[in-house]
Amino acid sequence: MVYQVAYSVLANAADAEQVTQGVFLRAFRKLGGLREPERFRGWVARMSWRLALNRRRSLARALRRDGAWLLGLAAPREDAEALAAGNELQARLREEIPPDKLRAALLLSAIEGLDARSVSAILRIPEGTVRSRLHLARRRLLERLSP
Amino acid sequence: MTPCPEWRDRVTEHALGLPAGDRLAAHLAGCVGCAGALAALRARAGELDAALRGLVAVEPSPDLPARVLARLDAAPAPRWPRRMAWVAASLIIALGVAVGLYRTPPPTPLARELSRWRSPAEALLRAPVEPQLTTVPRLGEIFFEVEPGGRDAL
Repeated sequence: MVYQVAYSVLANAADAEQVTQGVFLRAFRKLGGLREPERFRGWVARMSWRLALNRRRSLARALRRDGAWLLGLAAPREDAEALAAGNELQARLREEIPPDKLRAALLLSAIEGLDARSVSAILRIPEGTVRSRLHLARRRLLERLSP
Repeated sequence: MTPCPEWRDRVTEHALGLPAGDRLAAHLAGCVGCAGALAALRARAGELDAALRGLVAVEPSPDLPARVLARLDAAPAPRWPRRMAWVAASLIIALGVAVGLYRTPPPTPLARELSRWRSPAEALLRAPVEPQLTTVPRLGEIFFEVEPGGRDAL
């Protein structure tokens, strides 16, 4: 689940693995600070989300810093392997997934074991907001990808 | 199948799981176009949901757990939570200050010797009435009877 949350943000296996390692290291160090052990799963998922966002921001900063020529190299950062393995519908889905807030709710909700409540805890938004964003995102996809 | 334009939005919402309501249900019962569109949209929504789950159902490389464990082994032992560390440090400091304030050092042998020493002339400095001066008088008891010119009253 930690890896999948990171992957949903980064869409790259190597980056998601880096984040996963970081999450477990940080969780190991901060385990004493967890007051309610039954919240471990949500705690780790939230940590994974935050670290993945941080990594995405730092990658974006590095791209800006190192010059526009690097953008050409960075464009295929999404796994070519994963793209090849997916079917045509998944490829179109990748292109049509709405950005930002709707994207987060949509992708996290698609992860097995994460319900609206878990997603609301990760994103720190009300459960109702998660449901409405999810519905809006699904509706947009259905309208754009219907034959 | 193409739904009726005025029902398109409601049919799409219903395909995504929202309840139909009486009016839409009645319309669907009588409109072949909308009923067909609903079935097609439902099927498509199911395909999209499955594709979406497929997008995020990725597995890390098989050696990732071993790498994580190796990094955990190499990591230093977890520190105390910061708040606990502050509380513990404060308690230790407070205890140290209290002990430092209230604990007097034991007297050295020389100091003990000096405190026991009495001057030989000390007895000469005592007034003969000292017991009377240091004793609390009891009711009905007379210690002094000072009369004018009466030196023998003592």
